[in-house]
Amino acid sequence: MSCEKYQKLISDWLDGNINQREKEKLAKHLKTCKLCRTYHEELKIINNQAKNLPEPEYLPEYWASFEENLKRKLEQIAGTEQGGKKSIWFSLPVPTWALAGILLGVAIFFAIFFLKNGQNQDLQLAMMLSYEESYLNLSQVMAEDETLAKNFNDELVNSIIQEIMVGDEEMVSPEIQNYQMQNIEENEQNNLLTENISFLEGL
Amino acid sequence: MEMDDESQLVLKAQEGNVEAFMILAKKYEQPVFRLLYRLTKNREDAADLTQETMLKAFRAIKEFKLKSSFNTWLHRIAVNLALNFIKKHQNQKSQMEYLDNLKNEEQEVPVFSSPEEVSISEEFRINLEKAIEELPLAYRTTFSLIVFQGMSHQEAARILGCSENTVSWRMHEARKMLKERLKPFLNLKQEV
Repeated sequence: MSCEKYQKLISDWLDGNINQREKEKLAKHLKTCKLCRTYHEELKIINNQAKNLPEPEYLPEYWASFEENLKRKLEQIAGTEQGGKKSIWFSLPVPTWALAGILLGVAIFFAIFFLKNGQNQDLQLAMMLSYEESYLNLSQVMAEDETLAKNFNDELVNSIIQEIMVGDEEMVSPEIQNYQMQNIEENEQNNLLTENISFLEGL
Repeated sequence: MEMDDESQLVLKAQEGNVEAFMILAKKYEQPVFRLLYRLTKNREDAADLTQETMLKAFRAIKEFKLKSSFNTWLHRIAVNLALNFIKKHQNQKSQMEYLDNLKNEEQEVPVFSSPEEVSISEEFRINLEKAIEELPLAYRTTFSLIVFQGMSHQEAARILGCSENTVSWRMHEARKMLKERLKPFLNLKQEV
């Protein structure tokens, strides 16, 4: 065994990390090797001096304050951990939260979709009823007034003719054009009559 | 405090008992502080890291399986915090500061008021402290655990997360470095 290996054994010996057999072997070597004996002496001095180096110390008052501060912080940590335990919601795993979020999103989507659809259906129904009611009222009024019925029919025919004429005036037959002119004249007279009646009723 | 008592305190602390943990903290706060001071060389930093060690230990105590002693486990937390702290601060150290230190070292020549043994001891002590401080971090940490904290190679290996052979080798290398650095003082001391 070389001196280098014995010197490592010396270091282990100082740390109390050597077995009996190694100790005996080392003691035997030290008797014959001056270099390792000096090395051993020097390491012993370093070790003893190191162990006797002054320790950094704080006054007892410092440690009392340190402990008080530490205890306060530990109680805060313990309080937070216990507070967290009480609520079952915070102990739920992340996938559960994710699933709940998805379900909630789907529920909101369907709720909005059906609500909107329902509102449209109601509106369409209301409009239909409104048109139906108007048509019934109009039918009743026209059944009681022959002149008004005639004027309504003529107006309806005229509007159809006008629609056709807007498309192509040349395509309208002379019979239809005569009928149209005749009706316009009659309507003007009726309109004047209606205006006069309304004027008198208003008084 | 016997080990069984300590285990009981650990079990209580695992249930969130602050009083039980405080008994353990009071027992170990000063040894942990001394180790952290040896590693950081600053009282305030050492005190801050001691508190951080205790808080971290309390938060993690439920994970402590009592396979090692509480002392070993606590020291492992302290060493890890200190090593992270030192690495962070070493990165922040400016080049100028480093050069200044080198310059000062070159100018320092050991002066003795020989042949008084007391003076030599004082000089030796100052230079020994400086030599230990300048050991590479892994060697300094190992040396501090073994020599200052009085731990066995096995305990130090558990704290440092390495083998006992590594601890033994680092101690041998650290001592060789110290011996080399203190050579002039060792000769004088032996002469006295």
